[in-house]
Amino acid sequence: MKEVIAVIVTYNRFSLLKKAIAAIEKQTYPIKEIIIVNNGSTDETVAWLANQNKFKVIYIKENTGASGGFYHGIKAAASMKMDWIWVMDDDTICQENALKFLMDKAPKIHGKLGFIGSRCNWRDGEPHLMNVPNIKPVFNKAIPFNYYDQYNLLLAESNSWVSLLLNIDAVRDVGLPYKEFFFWSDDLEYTQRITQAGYMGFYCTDSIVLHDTDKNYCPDFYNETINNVWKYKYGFRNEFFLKRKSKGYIYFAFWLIAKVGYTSYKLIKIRKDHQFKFIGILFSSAWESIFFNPKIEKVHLI
Amino acid sequence: MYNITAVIVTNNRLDLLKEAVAAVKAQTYQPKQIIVVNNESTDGTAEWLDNQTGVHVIHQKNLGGSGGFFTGIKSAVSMNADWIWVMDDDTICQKDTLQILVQKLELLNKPVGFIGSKCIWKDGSPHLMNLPAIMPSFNKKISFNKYDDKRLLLIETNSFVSILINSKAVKKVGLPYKEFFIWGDDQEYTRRITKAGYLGFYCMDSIVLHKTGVNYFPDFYRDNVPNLWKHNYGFRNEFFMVKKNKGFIFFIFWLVIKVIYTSIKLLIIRKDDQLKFLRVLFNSAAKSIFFNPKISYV
Repeated sequence: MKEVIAVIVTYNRFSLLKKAIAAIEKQTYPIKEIIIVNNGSTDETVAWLANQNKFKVIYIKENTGASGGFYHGIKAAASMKMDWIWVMDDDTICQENALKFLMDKAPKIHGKLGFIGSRCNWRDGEPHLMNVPNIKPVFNKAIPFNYYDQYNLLLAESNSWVSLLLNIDAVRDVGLPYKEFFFWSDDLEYTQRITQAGYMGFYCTDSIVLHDTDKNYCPDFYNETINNVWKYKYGFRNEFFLKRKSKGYIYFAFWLIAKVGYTSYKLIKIRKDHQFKFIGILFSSAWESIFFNPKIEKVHLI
Repeated sequence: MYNITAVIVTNNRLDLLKEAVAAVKAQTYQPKQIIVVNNESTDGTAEWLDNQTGVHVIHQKNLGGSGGFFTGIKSAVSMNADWIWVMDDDTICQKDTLQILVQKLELLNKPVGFIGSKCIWKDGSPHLMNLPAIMPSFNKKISFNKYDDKRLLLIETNSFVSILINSKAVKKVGLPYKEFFIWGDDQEYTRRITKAGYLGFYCMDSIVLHKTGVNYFPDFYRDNVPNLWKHNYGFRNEFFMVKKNKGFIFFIFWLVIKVIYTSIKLLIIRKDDQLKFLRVLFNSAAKSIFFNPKISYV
């Protein structure tokens, strides 16, 4: 039987974390070990985790964002003996069969398998808008996306962290997620890195998890609230960096000017308040993206 | 019972057509009518068709696939079909292809524009010419996977190789452009339907065989010379769509860049018949500037 290690990243959401852990403990497929990355929590999480001996806990002093959390969690898992790493957030509540359905699919695939992601619902049973996979008609320009759809599997170029089963061979091959991203686009980049390395990525329609956020929404810069706008510093910087990485500096320079110009223009047309604040964020992240140079770290075997 | 009319378009492929018609007649859920549009076949198709019972035959000049689907869909709507089930003469349905599409429709209490089958090749793998287009957010509103528990995916476009189209949508958006002749007509038409606010679906369980000689997706850079003429239509239609969606000024700039980029890529990738291929590209670019088909309504 293939061995699975679950990784949960948490930050100051104690009551959700307990629900998330309870759901993992009820899985119908056995889990070898649960790793909890305590990403600088300052609430009851710290004291509670200190009294648990069922999990392997990784303490990080300061919050390193989701990217840092998944980096540390996957790194710790990858140094152990197992076959699959199952990652999720602290607000991910899995259905009992979520892992079993993912694991049942793996043997159906011929070829190198990189990851399988679950379907992510909001509280009302609708798909969560933050966690929709990216599907192209022909996966990696080679396999039709529907090649395995009789098994409720669709080939996907990228997937979110919110219930993602990673093949350890792929992790050891492509390295760890960029911890420097802090958050946003880290999952997109990491899963794309895996598929671009020649591994197949899948979205599994019958493995279901609840992403227990207050609202079901996908961040939208133009209509964002002033309290949330700081997040785009990371969002834009990471997005722009990925463009630079895949297309090279010359293309990137032209693209960035067009992108910043267009986004500013659209912003001024759409929103009437805090325009300067929003454009300031856009410009500073564009500037940062020119010099942002995180390096991929490989997994070290113990 | 749904009032469904099947539409098959054919041109000089009598053996395949016989198989396709037999498969439609053997459906566990029967369409009310079968229309076959004969695009000026010269191989005895016309005589064979005229001796069939239970098939409504329309003979016309060869107007390409687009002209065939135009005529077929138009006739089906005028014969009061509620749904029109469209396919090519090399589409061999399984027995329950239509029944499954209808069953899925009944699960949805929504304004469905179309629902397409899974299209496979002889070896059982998906056919590369008939893959739907999926965006994470359908029409920028609904996640594509909202109905995947019913094994249905929301899609922006689908091919004409087994698709069930709602006649209400046809009445609202009009008929396919017959002037496209071939290629791009199905994409344009299904996108027109989804953009008008109807849901478009891909159904994983309704399966048809697309019986082509090879399973391939036409690739301009690597295509062979006998197939080259088709790209005249492919490019012209593709460029026309950009003109239609983005406006003339954007289109002209875009066209210049596109033609230059495609030429350079062609010169790098292929070493033979370069001039022939470039000529097709430039010709269709020029044609697309003046190509202005109008939508006909029923």
